[in-house]
Amino acid sequence: MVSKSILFSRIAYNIILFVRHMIGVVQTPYETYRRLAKGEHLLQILPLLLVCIGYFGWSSLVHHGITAHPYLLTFSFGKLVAGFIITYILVIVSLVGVSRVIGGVGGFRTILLPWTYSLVPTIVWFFATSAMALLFPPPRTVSILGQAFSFLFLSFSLFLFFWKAILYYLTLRLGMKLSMGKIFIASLILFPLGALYAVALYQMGIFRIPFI
Amino acid sequence: MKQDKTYESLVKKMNEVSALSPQTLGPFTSVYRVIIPFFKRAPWRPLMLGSFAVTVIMYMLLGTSVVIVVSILQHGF
Repeated sequence: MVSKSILFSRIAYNIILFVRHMIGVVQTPYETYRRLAKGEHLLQILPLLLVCIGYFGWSSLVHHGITAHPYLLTFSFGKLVAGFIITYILVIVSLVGVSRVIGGVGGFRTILLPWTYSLVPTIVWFFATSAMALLFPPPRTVSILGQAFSFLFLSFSLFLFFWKAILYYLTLRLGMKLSMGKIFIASLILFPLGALYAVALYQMGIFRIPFI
Repeated sequence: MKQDKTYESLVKKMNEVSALSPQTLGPFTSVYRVIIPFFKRAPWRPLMLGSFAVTVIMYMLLGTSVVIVVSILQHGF
């Protein structure tokens, strides 16, 4: 049986690693992803997954309002969490599967941390967009303020999208040791599948934009 | 026998560096090697410039219709 002090030190160590890697993903993504691709200390993904689950609680409240029936809020939250878990597993399995088919070296262990940290821009976008929807509810108008907001929002979204693209590239480059050409081929297979999956999620009323 | 720590760390570093073959892109390899260092440290700087430039291009292409795109995106969370 693991003693309490060992357990505490393990938790503290993984929290420190999490904070260090969060800063690294922003400042030095290449070096950070090299470390993450080693697949060590997997417990550090827990804080990030908890933030994701926290977002789904927040999102349910924003969508239905704080006065909504608890049953409705619980159902909405459960639906989002289930959608997220299934998507998360499917994406990791697809990344590993497709990469291996085209000659990648690595496995679930080497891709788990890089892909999980690539959720950081996703979380930031979803949190920011939900907060913006509360403060400045859509639709936008063509007034000067509406245009200015649209410009800033679009720049912000594109910035996070490009950041996500870099982290996706590093996940396959360092997690599965693929060359850029092979990453391109993998993307040609993965993106259409992802698009179909996103349409399915939309039709089921889970995510309008997939939480990937 | 006393272990040589410097040698061990050098071997570890060599293994880490050689685990990944260098990226080549045919005739574009030299361009790739010029651009990539900007993305290895603080990539948010070139990304901010890039996203600003793409937004300006979108405004030039779509005009005020950009607000429709933003309204759709705002419903996406």
